[in-house]
Amino acid sequence: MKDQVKEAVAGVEKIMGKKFADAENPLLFSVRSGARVSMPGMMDTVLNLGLNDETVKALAKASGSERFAYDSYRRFLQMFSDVVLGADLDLYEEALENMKKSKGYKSDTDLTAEDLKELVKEYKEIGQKLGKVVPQDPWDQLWAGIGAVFGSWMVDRAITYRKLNNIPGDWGTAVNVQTMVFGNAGDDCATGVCFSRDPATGENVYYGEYLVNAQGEDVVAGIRTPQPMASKGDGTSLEEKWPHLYKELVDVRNNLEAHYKDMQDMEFTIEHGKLWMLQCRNGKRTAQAAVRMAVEMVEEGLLNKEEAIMRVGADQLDQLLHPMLDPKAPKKVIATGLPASPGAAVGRAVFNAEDAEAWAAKGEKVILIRNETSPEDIGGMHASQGVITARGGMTSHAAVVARGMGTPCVSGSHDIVISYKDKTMTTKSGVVVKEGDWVSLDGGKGQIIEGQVPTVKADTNTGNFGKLMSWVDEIRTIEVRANAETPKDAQQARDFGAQGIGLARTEHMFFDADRIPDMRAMILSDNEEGRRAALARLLPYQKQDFKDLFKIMEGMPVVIRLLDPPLHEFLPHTDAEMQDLANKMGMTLQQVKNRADALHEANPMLGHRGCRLPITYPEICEMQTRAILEAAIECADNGIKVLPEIEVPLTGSKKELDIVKDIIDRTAEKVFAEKGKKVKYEVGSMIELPRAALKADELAKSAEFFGFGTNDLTQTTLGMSRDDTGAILDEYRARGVYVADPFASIDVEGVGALVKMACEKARSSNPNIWLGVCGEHGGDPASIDFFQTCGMNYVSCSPFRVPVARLAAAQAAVRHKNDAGCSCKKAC
Amino acid sequence: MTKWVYTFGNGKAEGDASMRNLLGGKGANLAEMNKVGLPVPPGFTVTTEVCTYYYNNNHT
Repeated sequence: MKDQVKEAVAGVEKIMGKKFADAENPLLFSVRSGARVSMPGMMDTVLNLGLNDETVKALAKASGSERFAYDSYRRFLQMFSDVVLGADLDLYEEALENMKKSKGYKSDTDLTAEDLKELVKEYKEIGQKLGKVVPQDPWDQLWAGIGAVFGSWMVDRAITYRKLNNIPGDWGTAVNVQTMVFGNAGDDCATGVCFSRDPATGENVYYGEYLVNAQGEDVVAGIRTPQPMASKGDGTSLEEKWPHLYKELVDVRNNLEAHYKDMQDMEFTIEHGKLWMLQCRNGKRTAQAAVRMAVEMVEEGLLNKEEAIMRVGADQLDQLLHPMLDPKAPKKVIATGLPASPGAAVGRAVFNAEDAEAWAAKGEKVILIRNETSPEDIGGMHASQGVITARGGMTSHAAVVARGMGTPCVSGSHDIVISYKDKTMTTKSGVVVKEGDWVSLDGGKGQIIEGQVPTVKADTNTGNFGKLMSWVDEIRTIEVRANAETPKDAQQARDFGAQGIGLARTEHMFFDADRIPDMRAMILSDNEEGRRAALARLLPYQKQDFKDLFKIMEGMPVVIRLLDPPLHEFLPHTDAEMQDLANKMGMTLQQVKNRADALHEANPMLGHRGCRLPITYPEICEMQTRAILEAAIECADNGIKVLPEIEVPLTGSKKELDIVKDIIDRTAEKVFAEKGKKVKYEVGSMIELPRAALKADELAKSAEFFGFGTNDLTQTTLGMSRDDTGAILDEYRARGVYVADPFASIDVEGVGALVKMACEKARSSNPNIWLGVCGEHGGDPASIDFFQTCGMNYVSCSPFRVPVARLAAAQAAVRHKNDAGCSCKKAC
Repeated sequence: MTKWVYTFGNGKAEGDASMRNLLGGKGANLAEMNKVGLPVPPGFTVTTEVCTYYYNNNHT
């Protein structure tokens, strides 16, 4: 490696007519890190490498400025000590400040050559004292510089960044060694940063700033205010100052945009009137800018539609779908946490779900603040503008549910302490938020903000957004449906372009205050007759639920999952609530408790749930089937086209599915006979157990569709409960057992292999089976990409993820357009 | 022998934009800008494989 570096240095020396480590005409280098993707937290730049007590004199002579040479030297010593040797930068800054103070200077530029020589001496003394001496030999400097870049790959900041962004540790970083050019060697020198289009709005204008007689870091540090590149008519712009260089830069911009077919972020330096390009890369941009640029580049003929849709990050779209805090409004951030669910929320603080619902019922906007949330809090979360939790990660209950609802959420804020008793939240800095106080949050940034910050509605209906999404729909082959069971969510899904409902969870329909008593009465009955009586009272509610959904989703498929959770989830927990229930039921507290005890399970997730409910209590399934089909018939009578699909959860064998299917079909016959009318309905199975995947060819004989419940399939395949694995998963991801959180993005190698195999098996015995995914993974772009390769027919996700899923599906279709041997017969 | 170092300068480059994994984003683009004929200060890129080697061989 060293030999190759030496050879490369010799090549550069030949081009530049200078020599590295030469006392007469020294070549100087910059050393920078550069990984596959941009990695904040990695080692920064070392400039002016190659300077020492001898070469600095040659630089002074060559540049004709001693001041410039010694300023470069002291900057080098400071940077090298900081980033290569890990010395405390403050000591160097302090020496600089003391020097300025003792001379009565205001600015760094007031320092004379003599001052800077003195400073160089002081810097060296600091190094001696710390035992961190900058080597004089330029070759030693170079080896140390390269080593330091590699070393910085494993610093904590870099590791944390990689973990958050699913970047494997074995990618490594490269090191770029480049000849120094100086933007600070006189008034005919400058340095600047520019974008080939406006990165905030996407407008097709040359956007950039420059500083005369400065180095790159001066632009970033913001000590001096840079001037604009393009003329504003006041004579300060680069266009007016050096028109020939501006023209050269415009050519560079046009050249690079045409070459990369993407917006470029460029850094340049002008050294004594000559332009040098130091860097170019695809520029970071807001979602809004990404959409505008993609559309305009198609209109300009630079991109085709398929290329254009690849230019917008699917995850980035989220930014466009939620209201934002007014960027111009003043904000006082009082605490931070994880950016669990994007968007802005403003409301009054409440500390439990009941209060949230009560306040919301009075027309108040509320923010629900909890240590953590549980399924009982769903109503309260629904009623809230936003959710804040003190504990839990990005896949905690609060985070998952909030994202599903499109409710902004900041989770796991360690800056706050919550007192349920006093109904207060106290921040680390001592701010106390009491019940009813206004609080704002930015779920995209993870910020909790004092008071009422005004919001602005994100404009999702602009021509550009609509145009891009119409191309997306032309290109994709996977259907996108939504998980929704309330009319509000279904309407939202439809507005966002969903092509049906891929999962309506019926259990959510029984928690309403006017239904739960009948549900509980049904559960507490120890005989079928009692259960049927209670179910008969629930039937009209269920029927109305489905009619609402069918009306909104007119002409589209609606997958309705039969009741899934174990019955004890519907029973109250506290003695007071149980006593209340006992009174209503004409039972004793002990009788209620006995029934609750009888239903209690050690491991409810693997307990009496899913298809096991209709097998033991067919009357529940009968009621639900009746509700679905009567609703469908009534809709059809009103000219509304409905496509109900009844889904059986947690099956593991064909036999189980057949038993439940038989209940459904017999009930249907009865309903059709009573009503004198038939509607088409389908029966399918969820695939959420490894056994179901293994026996998919058998199950497919009795099913018209499969819905892969990949949340549960991940839990059952990994043998890991999502709610209990936060700490283990962190360790696992740190050690590379899983790169991404398998509950956020599907574990392609393990769970994915099961899914793929099940798809192939299913199609082998039933070529017409319709295959889909519902759950968090259905809205995750990386998972959608994998589902495309399985030949999945649809994905289903929360309504707010629908546009994201549409875009991700289109991108997957483009990526896999030419894949050979795709197993699917339909989707591709 | 493995090639650990890729040079660029004077309108020529041993790498290009497609070699992002080996040269990193910055290095690949520096090579590409040279090839496009833009004025880029000459230099070289030490590859990501050296980084991996460095960690597999106790930082030498």
